Amino acid sequence: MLGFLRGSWTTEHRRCQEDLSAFLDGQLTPSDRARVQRHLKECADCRADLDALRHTVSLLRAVPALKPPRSFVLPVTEARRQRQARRQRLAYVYLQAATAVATVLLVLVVSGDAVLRYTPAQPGARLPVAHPPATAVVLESAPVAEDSALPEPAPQMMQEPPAPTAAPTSQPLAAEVATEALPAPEQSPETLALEMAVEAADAGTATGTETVPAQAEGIPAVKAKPSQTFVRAAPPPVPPTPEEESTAREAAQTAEPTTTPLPSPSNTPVPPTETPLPRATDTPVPPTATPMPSPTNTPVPPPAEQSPTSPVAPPVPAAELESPGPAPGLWAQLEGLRPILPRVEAVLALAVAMLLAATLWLRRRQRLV
Amino acid sequence: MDEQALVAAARRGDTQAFNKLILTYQTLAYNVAYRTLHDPEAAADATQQAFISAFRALPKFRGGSFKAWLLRIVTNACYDQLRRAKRRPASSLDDMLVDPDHSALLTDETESPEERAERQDLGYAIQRGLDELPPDQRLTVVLSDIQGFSYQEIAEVTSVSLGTVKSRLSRGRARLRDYLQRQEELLPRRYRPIHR
Repeated sequence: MLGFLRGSWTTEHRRCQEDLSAFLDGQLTPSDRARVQRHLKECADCRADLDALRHTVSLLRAVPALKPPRSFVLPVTEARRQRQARRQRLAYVYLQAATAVATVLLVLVVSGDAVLRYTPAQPGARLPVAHPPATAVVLESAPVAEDSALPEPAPQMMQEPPAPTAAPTSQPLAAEVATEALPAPEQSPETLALEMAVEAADAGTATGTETVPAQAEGIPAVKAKPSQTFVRAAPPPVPPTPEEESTAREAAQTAEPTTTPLPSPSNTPVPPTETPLPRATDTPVPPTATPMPSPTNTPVPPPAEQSPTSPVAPPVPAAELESPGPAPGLWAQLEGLRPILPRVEAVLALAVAMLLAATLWLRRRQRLV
Repeated sequence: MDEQALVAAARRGDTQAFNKLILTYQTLAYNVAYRTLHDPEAAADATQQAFISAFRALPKFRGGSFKAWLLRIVTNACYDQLRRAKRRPASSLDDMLVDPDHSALLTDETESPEERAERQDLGYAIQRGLDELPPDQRLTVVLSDIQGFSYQEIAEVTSVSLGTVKSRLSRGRARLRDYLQRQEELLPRRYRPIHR
């Protein structure tokens, strides 16, 4: 009983201590006020604390006010200065946005230019419309393997392979062969494509960034779904003469990619050319003994031969040619833009550089203000 | 022109009108800043910065007490200064011992020179005590007991509840009382003793 009373008294004491300040200011509810008054009558400590607190507050009130060391009035130009600052902040935001937009545009144009640059050099130029970047590079890497296998120039090789009796081999098989052949020369086509890209970049006014998208897109494409892309890539040669003529003309435009790779492969990628040979012969053997003449040719040429002979093959490229119906026209239009692309790129690059410089300058100025 | 008209004019970008408001409040603002920061330079910087910010933010002022709104900006500027001071440690204790208050008192004609000197010493002693408090409690005590703000006004200025104001004030005052009891010799004779 006594302990309980003692406990309640300590609680009261603590609460009173906390309430003394508000009690001084008359900020307690009537019931709290009455409780504090009741406790003060019993507790000398709290009375002393209250007195000391009251004295402290009176001392605080007696603290003299200080004179400001100077006037803080603003110059009359302050409103204008703040308007200017606001305008500058806005200008900074707009400049940032403009820089971002210009950069995105530049990247788009450069990568588009890269796509346009590499697709038309190959026979399957029209088809890649569905996956322009992916097929473009696949097409590139496939013929490179051929080139390394055959010392003859590409166009000749295209005409030669039809002679071999590749006809019996069905399309899926060709795809298989293609996929089989791929893993081995996996590295050489890549490096070759890179070399070609670099050479092409040297030929054009393009910067090094161009090679990066081509390569970056090419690698996943080759590894991801080689069979699909190859099947699709193969059909293009279907119309042999007219298409080839056009591609030859296009190839002539960008003659360097097709002609230059030839000397370089002879030096380094010799091992790859040897390795695909045995493998290619190994796999095609089961169906027919055809691959004897030049097995490495099988990946691309067979469909070219197939189209005239087998009735199943033609519909596939036809359908594929039709499905991207509007695309060829668009593609041609895009190709028409090609000559001006370097100029567009240069202008955009200049714009990006200037915008970036302006943004940085403004930011620095704002930081100083 | 009354305050509301001046505020309205200043909102439209009238610097002259705003300067009249500054003249009204600059002593209050500087004193709050000085008692919170205990550094005349930092207090002046905080005050000036607060007025510039207030002029810029005026379009966002949604009525109510202009004084409380302005003081909120001043206290925010003070907290900025405190953070800055934390980053680079205080110059030296000697600077604080040479008290800058002495030359900066607002003169009161009715006061004798002795009384005035005593009040200066009192201000110095109190400032030492305030320096011991955490910034929140210090600011609350300054606003309440040196500047005479009501609980409601302090709640508005510091953006906290009335209950928080009450407890900050209670703790701050009790701490200051304990400090002055320990350091009674700092107080001018006239202001002693602090009973116990």
